[in-house]
Amino acid sequence: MNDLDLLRRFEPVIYYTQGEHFFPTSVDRYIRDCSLWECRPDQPATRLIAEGDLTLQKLIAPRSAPHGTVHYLRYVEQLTPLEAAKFLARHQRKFRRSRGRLARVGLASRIVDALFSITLFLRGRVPGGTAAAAAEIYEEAQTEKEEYIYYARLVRQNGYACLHYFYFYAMNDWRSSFYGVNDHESDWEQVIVYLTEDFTPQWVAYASHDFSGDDLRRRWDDPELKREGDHPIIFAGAGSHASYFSAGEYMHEVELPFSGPVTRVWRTVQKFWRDTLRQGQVNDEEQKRSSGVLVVPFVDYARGDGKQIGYGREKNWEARLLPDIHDTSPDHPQAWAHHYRGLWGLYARDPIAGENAPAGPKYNRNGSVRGSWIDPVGWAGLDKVTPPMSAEASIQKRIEEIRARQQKAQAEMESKTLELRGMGLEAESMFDAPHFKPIYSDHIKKIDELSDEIAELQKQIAIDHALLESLGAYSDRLARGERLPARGHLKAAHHPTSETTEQLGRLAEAWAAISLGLLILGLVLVLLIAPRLWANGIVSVVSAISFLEALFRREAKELIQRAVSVLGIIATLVLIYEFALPLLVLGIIALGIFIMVDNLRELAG
Amino acid sequence: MKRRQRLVIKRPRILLILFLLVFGQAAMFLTYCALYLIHGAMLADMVVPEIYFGTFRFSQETITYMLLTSTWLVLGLASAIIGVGLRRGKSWAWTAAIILQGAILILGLEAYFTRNADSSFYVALGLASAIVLTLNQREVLVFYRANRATLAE
Repeated sequence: MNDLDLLRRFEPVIYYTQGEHFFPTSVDRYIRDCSLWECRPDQPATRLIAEGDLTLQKLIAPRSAPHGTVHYLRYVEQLTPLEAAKFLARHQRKFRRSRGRLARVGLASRIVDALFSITLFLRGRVPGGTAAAAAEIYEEAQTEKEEYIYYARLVRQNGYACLHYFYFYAMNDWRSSFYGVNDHESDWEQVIVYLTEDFTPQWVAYASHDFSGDDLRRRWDDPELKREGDHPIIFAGAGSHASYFSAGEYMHEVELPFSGPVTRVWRTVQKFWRDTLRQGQVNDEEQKRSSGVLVVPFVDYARGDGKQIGYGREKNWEARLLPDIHDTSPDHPQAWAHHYRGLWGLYARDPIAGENAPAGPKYNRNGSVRGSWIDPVGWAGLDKVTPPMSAEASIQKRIEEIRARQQKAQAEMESKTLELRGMGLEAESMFDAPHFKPIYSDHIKKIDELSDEIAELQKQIAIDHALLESLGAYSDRLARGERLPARGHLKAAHHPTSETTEQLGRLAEAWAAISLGLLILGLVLVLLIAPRLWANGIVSVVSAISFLEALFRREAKELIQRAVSVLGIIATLVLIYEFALPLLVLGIIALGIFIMVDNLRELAG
Repeated sequence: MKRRQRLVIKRPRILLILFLLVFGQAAMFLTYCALYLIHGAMLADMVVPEIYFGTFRFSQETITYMLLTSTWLVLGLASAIIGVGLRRGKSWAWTAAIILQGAILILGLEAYFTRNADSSFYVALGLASAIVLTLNQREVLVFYRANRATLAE
C-alpha cells in the first residue's frame, strides 16, 4: 500500500456547524486570488506581487530581507468603509446562535470582555467586512469548481506511522461571524492518526486551541472518538475550525493580554484563602481549571449539524501529498510547504498574534519550524508511549537494563560496606587516643558520608526491585490482552457545555446584554446627581446590580456569602489597624499559654 | 418503598468554637441591652415626672437610646436562636447566621467610617469577623450542606 492509499484509508470525516462559510480548499486556488506583501521593521508594507500575478513558483522564490521582516499574503484587498458595509449587507448569516456566552458567565467576566473588545482597537486587527468579502471570493471560486482538499504526509517515527493531515481554509472568521476570539485570513488545522508499523490504528490527535501534549490525543478504542469505519470524525468549530472529538458548544477562556501579574497575585490570594485559611468549599473541577481573574469567555460552536465532508458523505475529499521531510526540491507540487516561510494571509500587526494570519503547515509565525512537523509523535505526548507491538520487547529490554543497574549497585554497595567496616575499625582504634583527635574527627565525617552513599544505593536497589516486580506484572497483563484505561493519560479533557448551561432563560440573556451598560449608567448618574455621596452611591449601584445578577443566575446565597466574607476581611483589617499593639500582645500571651498547656499535657501524659 | 434516610456526618471540632462565638455574641448583645435598660431605669426618675406633667418630649438622645436598646435586644435574641439552630445542625441557621453577621458588619463598619464607633462596636466587629471566618471554614460548610441533603433509598 503506498502512502497516499494509506492516508486515504484513515482520512477523517469532518462535520461542520451550520452557517460555516469556509471549507478546506487548495493552496493554488487561494494563491490565485492573493497578492504578496513585505513589511520591513518600522516601514509601511509594500506589495511585491499583485493579485493575479502570483503563482506558487513566484511565492517560493528566495527573498532576502532584514531581520524582523514579515512576508505575507492578502486575500482581501484593503476595503473602503462603503465596500465593507456592502459586503456585510450582502453576507447572510445562516448561523443559529445559542444562548449568549455572556449569560453563561458572571458580571466580572463581562467587564473583562468589554476591556478585551477595547484592546482590539489598540492592537492590530483584521478590518471589518474582511470575512464577508473573503466569503464572497471563496463562494465564487466554489461555484466555479467545487473542491474539498486536504494535504497530508506519512511520517515514520519511533515505531509509529503518523498520518499527518492538514486542512487549509481561506479565512478564520470566528470573531466576526460566530462571536469568537479572533479573525485572521487563512487558517491551517492539523490532525494526526497514529498507526503501528503494521498499520493498526492506535491514537488520533486533533489540534484544538490551547490544548497540547497528552490532552490532544484519544485512543482508537476511546468511546469519545467517533468513527465512520476507519475514518475518525472531527467536529470542527464554527469559524475557528478547531477540531473536537464530540459535537457540542465549548467554552473557552481567553486571558486578557498583559494580565499575567494580576492573575498571579489573584491566584496567590486565592490559594491563601482556600488552602491556608481553609475558606469555602473546593470544587475539584474548578480548581483544575484554575482560571485567571482577567479572562474572557468565548464559545466555540462545534455542533456538527452542517456540511459533512469525507468518506460516505455527499462531499468527498481530494487528497494531495506533501513532500517528505527531506524532499526539499522546488519542483515538488507542494514545495511551498518547505519554501514559503511567510504568513498565509493579512499581517494585522497584532502584538499577541491572534489576528495575524498563520504561517504554513511547517512553520510558526516567526519562521521557526513547528514542533508537530519535526516531531509528530512528541506533539501529542506519544514520545513516552511505546507502540503495543514492541511493548513486550521494550519491557524485557527495560527489565534487563534495570537488573544490570541493580547488580552494579549491589556490587558497589558491597564494596562500600567493606570500606565502611574498615574505616569503622580504624575509628574504634583511635577512639581513646587523644593525639588522634583531628584525624578521628575527619574519619567520623568520612564514615558519615560513606554511610549516606550506602543508604542511597540501598534505596535505589529497593526502588529497582519494586520496578522489576511492576514491569513483570505489566508484562503479564499485556500478555493477557489487558490495556490501561483509554482515558488514563488525559489531564484536562475538554467537554462541551452542559445542556443546563445552554438552556439559560431569555431574561438572563437580556440581562447579560444590558447589565454592564446599566452599571456604567448608574455610576455616571450617581456622580452627576449626588457627587458628594459618590462612595455610598457607587457601593449602592454595584450592590444592586450584583444582587440582580445573582438573582438571575440563582446564586443569591453565594453572593451573600461572598459579600459577607469581604465585609469580614475589611472589619479584620480595620481591627488590625486600630489595635495593632494590643493584638500583638494578645497574640504573644496566647502563644505563651499554648506552649505552657502543651508542655503540661506532655508532663501529665 | 422509598425511605428517606438522613446523612450522618461527624461534627467537626471547629463547631465548638462556632457555638462559643455565636452564644458569646448573643450574651454580649443581651448584656449591652441589659446595661442600656439599667441606664434607662436610672433616667426614669427624671422622665416619669415629665410624662406625668405632660412636658415629656422625645429628644434625639431618647430616640437613639430606644433604638440602640431594641437593636441590641433583637440582635441578642437572633444570635441566641441562631446558636440553638446551629447547635442542632440546621442548615437554615447557617444561612441566617451569615446574613446576621453581614448586618452586624455593615452597621459596625458604617459606624467606624462615620467615626461613630465606640468600644462596643469594635468588640461586635471582632466577634462578627471571627464568626464569618468560622462559618466559611470548609468543614463547617460541608457539615451544614450535608445536613440539608437527604438520601433517598
